[in-house]
Amino acid sequence: MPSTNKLPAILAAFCLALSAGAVAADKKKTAPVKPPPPIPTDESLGFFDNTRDQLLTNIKRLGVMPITEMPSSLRERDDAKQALTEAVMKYLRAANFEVVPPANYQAIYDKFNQQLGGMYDPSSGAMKREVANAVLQNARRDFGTRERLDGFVYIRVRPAAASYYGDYASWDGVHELVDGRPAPQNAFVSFWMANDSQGSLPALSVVVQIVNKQDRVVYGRHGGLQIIAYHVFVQDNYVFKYVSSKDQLKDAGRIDRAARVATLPLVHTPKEISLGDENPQINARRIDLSTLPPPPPGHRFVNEPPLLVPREQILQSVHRVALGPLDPDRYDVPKDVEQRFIESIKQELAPLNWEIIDAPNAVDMLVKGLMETKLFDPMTGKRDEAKAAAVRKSVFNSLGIKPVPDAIMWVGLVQSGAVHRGGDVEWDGASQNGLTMGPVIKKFWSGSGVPQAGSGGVTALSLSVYLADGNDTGLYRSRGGIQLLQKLKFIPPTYSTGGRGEPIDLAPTELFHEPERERASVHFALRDLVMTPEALSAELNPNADKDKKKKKKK
Amino acid sequence: MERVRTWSWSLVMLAGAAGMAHSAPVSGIDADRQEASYEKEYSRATVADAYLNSIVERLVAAAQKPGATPIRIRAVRSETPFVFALGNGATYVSTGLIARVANDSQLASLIAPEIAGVIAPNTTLEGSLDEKNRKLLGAKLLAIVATAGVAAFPMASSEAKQYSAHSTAVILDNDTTALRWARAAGFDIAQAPLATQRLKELLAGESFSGSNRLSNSADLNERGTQLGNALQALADPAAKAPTPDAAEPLRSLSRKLSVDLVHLDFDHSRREGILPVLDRIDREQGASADTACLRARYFRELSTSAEITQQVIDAYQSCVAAPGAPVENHRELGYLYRDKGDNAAAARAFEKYLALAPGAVDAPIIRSYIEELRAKH
Repeated sequence: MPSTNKLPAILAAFCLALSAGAVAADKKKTAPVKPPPPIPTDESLGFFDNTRDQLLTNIKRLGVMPITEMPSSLRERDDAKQALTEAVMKYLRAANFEVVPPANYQAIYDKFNQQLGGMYDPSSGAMKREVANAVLQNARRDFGTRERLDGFVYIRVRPAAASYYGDYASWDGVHELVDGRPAPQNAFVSFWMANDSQGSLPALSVVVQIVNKQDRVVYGRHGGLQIIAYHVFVQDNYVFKYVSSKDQLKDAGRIDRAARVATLPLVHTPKEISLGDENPQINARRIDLSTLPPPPPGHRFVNEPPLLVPREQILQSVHRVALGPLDPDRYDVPKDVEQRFIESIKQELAPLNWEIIDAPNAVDMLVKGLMETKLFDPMTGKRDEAKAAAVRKSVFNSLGIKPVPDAIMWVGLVQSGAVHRGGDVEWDGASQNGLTMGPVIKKFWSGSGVPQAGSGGVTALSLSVYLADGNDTGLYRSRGGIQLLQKLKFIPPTYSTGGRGEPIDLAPTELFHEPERERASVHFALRDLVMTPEALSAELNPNADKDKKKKKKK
Repeated sequence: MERVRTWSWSLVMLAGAAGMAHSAPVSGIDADRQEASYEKEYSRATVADAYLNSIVERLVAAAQKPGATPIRIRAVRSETPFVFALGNGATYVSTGLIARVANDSQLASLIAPEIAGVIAPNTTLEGSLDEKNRKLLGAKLLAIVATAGVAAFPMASSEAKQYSAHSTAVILDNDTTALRWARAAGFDIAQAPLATQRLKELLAGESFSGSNRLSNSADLNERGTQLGNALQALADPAAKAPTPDAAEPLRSLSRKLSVDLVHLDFDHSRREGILPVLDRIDREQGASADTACLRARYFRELSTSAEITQQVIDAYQSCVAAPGAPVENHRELGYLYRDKGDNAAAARAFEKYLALAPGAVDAPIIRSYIEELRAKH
C-alpha cells in the first residue's frame, strides 16, 4: 500500500514538471522581437515650418486661448471647454512649458470688447468684422506682451470621420468599438461578435495648435475624442445610433486620451514615440478599451413630433389663420412656383375649414420688428428670447388684418441632410433615388437601390411649416421633402475600395420643375395637422389592414 | 459572389480607360452643375471681370460665330495659373494667371483655345475616336474577359498610342482655330509660346507647381510646343501686323493681383513664393509702399524666436516711410517697439497711427496703450 505521506511530494513534483514543461514550451514559442516602427519625422508629428528642437528652444512660455471653435451643438458646454483646456494644459506642463491659463486672456478681451462697444450688431446679431478683428488682434497682442509669452495655444473641437473596418473604428491616433458597446472582456466574445462591414462614422477630435508670436503656426496635431454615431446591428439590419450632444464630451478618460495624443510629440521625443509603439501611454491605439468608461448611449434619430400641442386643442382654438409668404431661404424661387406652394397649402388645409388670409407682408413685418428691437447683446451676440417672443406677438396686430387672426402659419424652404442607401433617399416624408433622380422603388428581389453604391450623406430640399398663435405658443411644426439637391454619381467598386455614390450639386436651373413633388411636400408637411389620427395611420401603414386580416385567418 | 462582381467591374473600368478619348468641355446639364459647384468653391475677383470681358469680346467678334454659346468669363482668386471653359460658356480665369502674364496678347492666346472648344468644337474630329471605341467596346470586353484580363494590356498600349495621336490632332486643330481668331482680333499671337515660357520661369522662381497644364514645368513645356505648332500652321507672311497691346489696364491689374498673390501665400503659409513675387513687382513695376510693407511682414513672420530683430524694425521703418503706406503698419511698428521694450518709440508709432487714422475702430484701445506707455516712460 503506497504511503499517503508521499502524496504532497508527488503532487509537487508533478506540478514542477508541468511548469517546467510550460516554460520550455513558452521558450520554444517565443516569437522574434518585433522591431519598433521607424522614427517619425518632426513634420509627420505636427511640427510646421520648424523642428521639434527649434520649437522647444524658442518657445518656453505659452498662453492658452479660450476654446471658441466647437460644433454648434456644443458651443454652450463650458464644462467640456474647461475639461479639455485643463487636460491640454496638464500635458503642456508635462512638456516643461510654462503655461498661462485662458482666464488672463479673457480679462483683456472683455476690457477691449467693452472699450469698442461690443463686436455684435444689436439689431441683426451679425458680427462686426472690423470691431471683432480689432478686439481679437489687440487682445492677443496685449496678452502676449503682458504675459511675456513666446506663443499661443489654440484648442479646437472639430468633427472627424472615424473610418472603420469590422468592429473597430480608428481616427486621429485612437480607436473605439463601432457599436458603442463596452469593450468585451475576452477574445472569445470578441471573435463571435466580429463583422466585416466598413465605412466611416462621425466622430469628434481635439486639435491643439501652437502659434508663435509672429503669427506662424509652428505645431498642430489632432487627438480623437469619441465617436458620435454608432453603427449597430438591430434585428436584421445595420442602423446608426446617434450620441446626444448633452452626452458628448463628458468622459474625462477620453478627453485625457485626446489631449495626450494631440500633445504627445511635445512631451516625448520621436525616438521615444517609436520605441513606445506597444506602450498604451504613448500609442493610444494600444489602450485597452475596457479600462475606459463605457461610451455614452446612442439613440435612433427620431423627429420632433409635429404637433406641439394636442390636435384637438389646435382645432378648437384656431379658426382664422394668416398665411405668410414662402420664405425662399437662399434659393431663387420663381414667382409662379412660390404661388403654387401657397395655393397647395390652402388646398391642403381646406378640410379644416379654416379661414385662410393671405399675409404677404408677414415676414417683412417680423424682420422689421426684430431689427428695431435690438435683440442681441453687443458683447456676446446672445439673443434675448423674451424680446423676440414679444416681437412675434406684435406681428399679429401689425398685419392690419381685422379681426386679428388666431394663428400665423410661417412657411419656407430649408435644406435637409439625408442619408442614401444604395442611392435611395428617404427624408421628411418624401423619397427619391439619387442615382436616377426618379422614384424609389422597393421590391422583394429588385428595386431602384444599387447596393454597390453603399450609403452616405446627400442634401435635399424641404418645405417647412410652423404654426404659432397670438401668445407665441408653437402649435405645429413639420417638414415635407421636396426634391434632392444633389445627384449621386455611381463610382464602381475596385479591388481596394467599395463602390459609392458621389454627390454632385444640382444646377439652380434643375430646381422647382416638379409640381407633383411640390404638392406632395405640402401634404407631408401638413398631414399630421390635417388628417385624423386614424387616416394618418392608414396612410403611413398601408398594409396594416391586410396584416390584421391575415392574423385573423390564422 | 461579391468578389466576382468587384473583379468584373475592374475589367469594365480597364476597358473604359483604354478606350478613353480626348474629351470636349463638359456640356449640357453637367456643365450647369459644375458651374454651380465652382461658384461655391471659388472666390470671385470681380475687379478683373471687365478687363477679361474686353478680351473675350474681341475674340468672339473675330470668331464670327453668331448664335454660338455666349461666353461668360469671370476671374477667380487662386495662386495657381489656370483658364478653363465649360460647355455652357462659363469660363474661369485665375488671378494667378492674370497676375503673371506680360501683356494682353499673352493672356488672349491662352484664353482663346479654351473658348474655341466651346464656340467651335471640332465635333467631327473629337467624335471619330469615340465612335470607333464605342463600336469596339463589346469585342474588347469579350477579349478581356476571355483572356482573364491579359488582353487588356496590349490593347491599352495600342490604344494609348492611338489616343495620343488623336489627342494631338484635336489640340492642334483647336489651337490653330483659336490663334486665328486671336490674330484676327489684333492680338500678337507670337506671344503665345512666350506666355508659357514666362509662366514656367516665374513659377520656377516661386517654387510653385500645380497640376493643370499651365501650372507646372513639364506641362508648360508641352503647352508651349503645342502653341508653337499652331503658330507654324498659321504662318502667313501676308497677315496684318498686330495692334500693340495697351499697357493699361493689365499693368494696374497685374500689380493689384500680384500683391493679392502674396496675401494668398501668407494665408496658405507658402512663404517661399513671397519674396520672388515681391521682387518681380518691384522689378517690373517699381517699388512701392505695398511691397515694402509686405516685405516687412515677411521678415517679421520669418523669425522663429520671440525676440524682435533690428532687421524687422528696419523693414517696418522702410514700409512706413514709403508714400501711401497702409496706416496699420504704424500700429504694427508700435507693437514691435513695445515688445522690444522701447516704450517711447512705441508711443510715437501709436500716436502716428492715430494721427493718420483718427477714426480707426481700435482707436480707444490704442489710446489706452499710449497712456500706459507714457506712464512707464
